[in-house]
Amino acid sequence: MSGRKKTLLKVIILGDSGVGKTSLMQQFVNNKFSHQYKATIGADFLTKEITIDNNKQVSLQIWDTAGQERFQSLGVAFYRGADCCVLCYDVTNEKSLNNLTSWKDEFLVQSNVTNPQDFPFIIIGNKIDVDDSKKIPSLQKKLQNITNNQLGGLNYPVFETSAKEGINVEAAFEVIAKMALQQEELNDANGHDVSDDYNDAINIHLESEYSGCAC
Amino acid sequence: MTLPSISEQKAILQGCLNNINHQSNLMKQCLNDNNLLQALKHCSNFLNELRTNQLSPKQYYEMYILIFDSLEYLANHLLNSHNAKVQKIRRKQQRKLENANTGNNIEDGGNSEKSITSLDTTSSPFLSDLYELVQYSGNIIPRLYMMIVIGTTYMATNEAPTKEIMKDMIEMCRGVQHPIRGLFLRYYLSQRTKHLLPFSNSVDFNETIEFLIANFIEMNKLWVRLQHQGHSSERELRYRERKELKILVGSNLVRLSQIIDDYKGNGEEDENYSPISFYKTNIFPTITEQIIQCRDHLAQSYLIDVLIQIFPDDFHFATLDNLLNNVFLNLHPLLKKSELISTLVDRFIVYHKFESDLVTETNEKLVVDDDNNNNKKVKKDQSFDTDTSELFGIFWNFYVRLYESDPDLPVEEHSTILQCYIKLSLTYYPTNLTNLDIIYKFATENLVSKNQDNSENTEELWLQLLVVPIRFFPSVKNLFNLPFFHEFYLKLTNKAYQKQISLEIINKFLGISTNDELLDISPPKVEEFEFEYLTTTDEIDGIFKYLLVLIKDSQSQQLNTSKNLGITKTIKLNNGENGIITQEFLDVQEKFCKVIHLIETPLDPFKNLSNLMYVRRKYLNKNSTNIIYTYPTLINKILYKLKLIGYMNLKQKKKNPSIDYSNQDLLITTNFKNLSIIIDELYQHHQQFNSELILKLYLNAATIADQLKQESLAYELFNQCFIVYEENLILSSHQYNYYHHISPQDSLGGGSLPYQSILLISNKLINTRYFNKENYESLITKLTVYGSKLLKKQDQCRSVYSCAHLWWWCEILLPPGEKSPTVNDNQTDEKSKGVTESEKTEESTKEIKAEAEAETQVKEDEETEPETEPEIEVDVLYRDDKRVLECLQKALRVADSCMDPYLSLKLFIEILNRCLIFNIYGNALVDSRYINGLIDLIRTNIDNLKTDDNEAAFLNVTDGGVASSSNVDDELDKEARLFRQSRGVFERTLDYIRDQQIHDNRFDGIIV
Repeated sequence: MSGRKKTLLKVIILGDSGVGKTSLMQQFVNNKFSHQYKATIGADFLTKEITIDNNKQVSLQIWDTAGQERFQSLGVAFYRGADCCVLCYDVTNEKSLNNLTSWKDEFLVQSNVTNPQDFPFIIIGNKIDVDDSKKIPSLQKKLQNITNNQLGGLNYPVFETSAKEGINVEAAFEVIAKMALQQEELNDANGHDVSDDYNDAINIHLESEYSGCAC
Repeated sequence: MTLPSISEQKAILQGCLNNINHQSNLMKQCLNDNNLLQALKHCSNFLNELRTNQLSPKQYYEMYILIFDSLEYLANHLLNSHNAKVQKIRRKQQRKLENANTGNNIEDGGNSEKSITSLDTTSSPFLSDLYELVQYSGNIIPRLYMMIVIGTTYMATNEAPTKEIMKDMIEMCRGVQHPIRGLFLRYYLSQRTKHLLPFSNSVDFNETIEFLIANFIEMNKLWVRLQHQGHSSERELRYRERKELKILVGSNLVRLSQIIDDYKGNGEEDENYSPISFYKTNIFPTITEQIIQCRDHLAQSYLIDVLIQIFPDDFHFATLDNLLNNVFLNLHPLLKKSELISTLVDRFIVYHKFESDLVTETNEKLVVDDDNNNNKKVKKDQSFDTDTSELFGIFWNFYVRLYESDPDLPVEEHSTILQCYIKLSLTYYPTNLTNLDIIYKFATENLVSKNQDNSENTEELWLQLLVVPIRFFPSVKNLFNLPFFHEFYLKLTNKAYQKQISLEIINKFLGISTNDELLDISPPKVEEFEFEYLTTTDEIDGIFKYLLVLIKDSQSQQLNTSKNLGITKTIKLNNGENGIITQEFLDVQEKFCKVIHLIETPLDPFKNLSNLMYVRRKYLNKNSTNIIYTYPTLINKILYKLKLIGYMNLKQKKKNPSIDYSNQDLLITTNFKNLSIIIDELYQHHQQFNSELILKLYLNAATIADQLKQESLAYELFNQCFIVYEENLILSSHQYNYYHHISPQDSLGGGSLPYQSILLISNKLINTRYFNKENYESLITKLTVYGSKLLKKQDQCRSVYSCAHLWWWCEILLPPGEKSPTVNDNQTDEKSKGVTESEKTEESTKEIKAEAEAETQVKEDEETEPETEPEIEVDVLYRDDKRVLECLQKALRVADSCMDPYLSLKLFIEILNRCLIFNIYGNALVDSRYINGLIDLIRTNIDNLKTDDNEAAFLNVTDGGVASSSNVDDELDKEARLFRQSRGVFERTLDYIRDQQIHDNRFDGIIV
């Protein structure tokens, strides 16, 4: 069945509060943009089916997260099983750019990925529609500095987008999907052994262990 | 039941996760083998893990996420197999239909339609049966999760009775009353249904809203109830757990906000639908009622926060009055309303910034847009304006009511709320300052006085209220329009805080940037700081009333506090006799001086002068110990202005001599007199340690008075200089020994303070040009007499020969065509005046004269010697050759009377050099014979000294011998060095004479 073959790819969007994570996702999935700022509470995802290069159907499960820590009280268990991580910053906000590293580190610590060295990250600088005068001065240099020195010297793909005008959003997510797919295939290749282990594992949790309310 | 320890919990979680992974893999395998029932059994198995109550919410959430993924897999599988089945049936039906169609033609049309509609019912059983089937699951948690996953999958198909399923699911969820499990279950329900909620018409929309609100209410109840479960000793733990769980409850409000966004109204049924009014009438009251009634501190603060964060600003503008007055006032009494206010206000501030960006942006785009759009946007802008005009009023009413209802509200709360209000007002009404004044008035009248007792801590909070606007305002002058700002400022009892504010103001005024950490609203951008002038007394009052505390606070007090604070870095002034001060104190004084420079009315110097006088009278003289730092600037500033006025006056007089200028002259005179009073005040308080500075101030004033042809003023001011000299400088040499440090090796060099003072005065006097002869001579004679009475011989000698120059002007220093009154007098009654003047002078002058007389007479014979160049100037320059000679003679006698032969020699050589100058500038009495005599005298002296032992040492060194050889005797060496030095100077002088003789025809008769 074609449906069963369809791959589910999990993508996490991270970044400081107000850089436009929700807007990016909304623009990509629903082609919508709202001027109103709404903080994201907890984490929420949207799915979108897309076709990438050789007619491969994938289903992107895009997790939008709360940039403000106080709205992330239950922790970030949903990082687990991610296939790609999108690090967002705001081209008018230098602090958000500088925080990319900590978001990346936080992700690697919490997500427990098997290959932190070559886990696919992608960097998106959002809000390029705004006036040049408000943008971070000598952005490219600073960005290069950060990608070279702090993000482990790896060359992650960088996109500059505008969720408001829909510039570059599709292109960015296409790359995200490809990278995620690669990662998923890699995981599948390594992962089967792991799941086989579970098959032989003895179930130590017997029903009788439960105590208290049986609802 | 007690909870397991943390490590146990971890182990349990790991076990659960392993089991879930295992079961979910088994499920997937079964699904791939199309063994659905077995798959559901495994599914039920791993769902059983969610029945645990041994894990913390975070750990439970980890499990939940894993299970969520597995259930997604199941849901996808079910949906796909459903679609496949439907297609299969459809294809079969299609084929049947085709067969029937070909066979029975049109008559069977009705039948075929029936069979198509029955297709739905025949296909649905797969999922609906499954939905029924899972209800036989033994435990309620797996049962409900499976119900939801199948129910929502069913809803995703077109044929499902969506609303019935929704109702059924939400009813069934009531079965779980365990808080954590119930919350996660309902959260799962809300996550699964989020894309499937029907809202195509208003009925559906309303039912969906009801569904979401119902879920919210139930979750909130579960959440609140958790607090009251378990042992009372676990209250803290419960509270922590609840804090972690809060986002589950909040997610319902997120859904509500999203669905309102998505629903665009139904054109036919309700044309008047607007999301804002819908929110206002349907959602806001229900939710807030729920929030108020739960009477739970955590729930209220969190849910209000979420409410503010996730609904658009427009909604809040519409419900603001209600939110504040009906909701906030009814919240838990211990709840910190200030935090909520702060969130709300911050949000509005961001909105304002964004909106104003948008307005400029749309204005730019308006050119491109068509008319329709134009109107729309303009309309929007207008509504934006009307929306916010009442904003402050609403907030303020709430605050007043809050104050009335809860008079014991902690000061921190008041302070934070008022700070928010200030920011709000500054953002929304940057030009309207009445709001701020209302705030300060209220604070002044109601808050500060009430909290006298614990003022130490609370005043720091008030401080913030005052600092924010100062930093925000583009100009300090905005404060002038806030009368209660000052009132409030005065209420601060702690002087240190007052000073802090004052410093803020002074820094702002001077454009000294301070760190803006406190200010999270961005003030209007100032490209480049431009100094603003204080032009009126009102403006001066406006600034200086805040600076008064800095002026009045004497330095000794400051020192005490600084000692208390452990500041050790201090500066000793005047050998510590005048106390010790800190660098900070000096910095403040420096700032004052800068402010004084900004008291400026460029077009009206008279007004400027009166302003400067005003500042001094009303503020600066309030602390007489500190005026020594501020007055010099003030005095110089006044002097500068006077100079400008005076020159203008002179220029006009020259242009239109016919007009009467007595009025202006009078003004200048008065101002000079006032200035003199100011310097005098400084003198009265600081003569002991700063008389030299004061002398300089007087001298400057005197010079300028002379330049402005104010003779009597200049004369008086020079007299003041003499007073300062006589009263303080003559005797104060012991206090200022640093002049001797100019050349510590040379005991013959340098000079005492009195000597320096005489030089200072003579340097100024020699440039004065507008005294009449009598006054001028009186002044210079006096000065020369002072010089001749100095204690040390070298000072005496040098003063006198320096003063000689006062009788022999070398520069004109006058505009072309003008003549100095000093010289004019000279021409009319040259002889008589000269004689009487000399007779009138004091005894000592007579002495000089008498002693010089003999030689003068000798010299007079050679008067006829021709002097070339200077002769042209003779009639415009004041010159008195006899007096010069008298002075030189006096100097020679003093030099000769020195006990120390080396000193004598040195002074002789110095005098020789002076003589050369007078000779060049045409003093006939200082002729070649006179100079030859002096040269001979010096030679004799040198010869006398040469015969002494130290000649050897001298030769040693001059012959290129090793200098170190003379180190044998230190005393000898020092003298030898001096001697060598003097001889060197003498040799160079002779070289110079020779040089001049060759090249310039000077010094004709001098024999070298």
